[in-house]
Amino acid sequence: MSTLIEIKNLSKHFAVNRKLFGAKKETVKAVDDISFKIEKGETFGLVGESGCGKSTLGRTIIRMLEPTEGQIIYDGTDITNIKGKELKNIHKRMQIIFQDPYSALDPHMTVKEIMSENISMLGKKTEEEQEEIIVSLLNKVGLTASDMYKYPNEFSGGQRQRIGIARALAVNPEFILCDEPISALDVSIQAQVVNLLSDLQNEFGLTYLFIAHDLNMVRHISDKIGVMYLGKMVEIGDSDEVYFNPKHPYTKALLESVPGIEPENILDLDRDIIDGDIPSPLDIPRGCRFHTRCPYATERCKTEQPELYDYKDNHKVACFNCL
Amino acid sequence: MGNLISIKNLQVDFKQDKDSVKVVNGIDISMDKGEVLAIVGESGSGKSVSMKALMDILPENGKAYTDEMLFDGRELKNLTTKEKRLLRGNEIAMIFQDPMTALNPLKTVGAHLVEVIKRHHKISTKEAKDEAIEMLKKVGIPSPEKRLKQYPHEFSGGMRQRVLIAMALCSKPKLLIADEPTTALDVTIQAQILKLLKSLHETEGMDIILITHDLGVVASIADRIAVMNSGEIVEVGTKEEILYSPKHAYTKALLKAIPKCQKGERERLIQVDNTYVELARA
Repeated sequence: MSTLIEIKNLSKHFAVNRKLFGAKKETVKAVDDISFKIEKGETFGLVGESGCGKSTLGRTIIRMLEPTEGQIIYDGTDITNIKGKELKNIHKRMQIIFQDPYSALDPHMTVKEIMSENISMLGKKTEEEQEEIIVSLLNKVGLTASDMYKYPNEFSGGQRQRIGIARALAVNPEFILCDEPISALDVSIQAQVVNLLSDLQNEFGLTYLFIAHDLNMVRHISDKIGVMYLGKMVEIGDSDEVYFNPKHPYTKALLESVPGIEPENILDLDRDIIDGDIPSPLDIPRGCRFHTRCPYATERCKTEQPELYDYKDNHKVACFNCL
Repeated sequence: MGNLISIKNLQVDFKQDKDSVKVVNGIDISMDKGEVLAIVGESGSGKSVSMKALMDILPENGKAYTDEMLFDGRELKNLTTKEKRLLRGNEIAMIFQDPMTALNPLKTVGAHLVEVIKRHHKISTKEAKDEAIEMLKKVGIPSPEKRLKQYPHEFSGGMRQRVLIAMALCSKPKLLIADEPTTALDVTIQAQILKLLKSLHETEGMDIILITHDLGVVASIADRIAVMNSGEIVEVGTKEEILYSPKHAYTKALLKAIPKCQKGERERLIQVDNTYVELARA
């Protein structure tokens, strides 16, 4: 396997004005100095709770957002600062599927119009050629040719997500950022969409960055998992390794909080459960960002920030206590 | 242990133009005191609507019919509007999925609580405030004196849900109906709220009906489970019966649609087909 995407020390900061009229600028470090690689054909799962920066990281990687610092290397080329035509060309190779299938599709456009926009990125096509492509894409995602003339409101949530997937596929991308594609769907529909995504991956050799907060589903679909907390990657490794042998206290807490249905995985509510809320990203704790909630925090954790180190092959952790 | 709820043949119709749609199609629910009952189902299965029928808070175009609706031995159908209102506040409380929309953004959290407390007890505002602080302590909100003066937007999602639970607790209800109370929350916060609900069930003797679509959540807290699909209860049983030896095809399918957390090879998820069953025209 070769590397498709390499992220080097990527940061994305947002400036926020907290006071209505004040000039005082503060920055939210939504993504702070993150490095990792995504191999061709694999699914990289990114997990973390709301506000940890997982969507920002994903969107910065596909250059929907401008990176503040660091480098994004896509298939050997540095795409961190490319503009205009070059950027457009890169966007033909990377696509995105959104969380909310209701707001991701323009309600005034038919499925055909929605998809034609993307298809036209590949160059001029006649009406017949376009329709042919649309029909084959709709069939791929389990919809029919006649759905082409319908409007988004005529579809259910799961079907809309299929349209979103078909639209992403329209440009023959290599890489798809799946930004919580199943969070808004019912359990049975989730299974359909996840199965569809893995079928398409096998058929087209797609690479996915799969963002979600449902850990069971992420493990199901991912080859590797990265765990984020307040803009930092705290643990990263092979999916089974992170899931069954978590090292970082946050990953452990996260996994212990997942309610399972097998007898051994049922969430035990009599046990101690991780306390506290996630600190505000405007006011990130000094030292290890997790130390305010960590049951193992030491003095060192309060002042010094741990970096990711190799715990073993394909498993990195950022915690002093696992050294 | 006596019977807390007994509902027989509950039907709910919604008027739509000239037609009416049957959303709940003749279900029976019974629940003993001291129980946590979970009603599980997907969107549109009628799980929330059937509980709203019990509370008598259906939207205007909805109408419920039952053969019997007993709560703690009393027939609810015979109550006057005023008696029903008293019952809703004092004996049955309900919390909802979205803790932001359930709170008034223009009022402090303290004002919310004081209003509810004063409605239930004839006490002064100052006493009500002290009571409110007690309530916030009970639901695990740190520094309650300070928090009382804050507005809902200053609270995180999990803390807002705790406030709603505190409001529901003010009247010391016999039954709390929790409609997807953790769906909008992150997993670690979800675990905290479930833990809180369980401990309140044990210490305050408050029984709970939990409406959810998440079988994992159900497994952690429920004693009995009712599975709903298209307005009908397709299966009801103890937690163990439903999770480990389901009888109905829909329950089986629902359980298989969830990824297993076992090491190694990942089986393909089983898809539940025909989920969007057209609701029967009444």
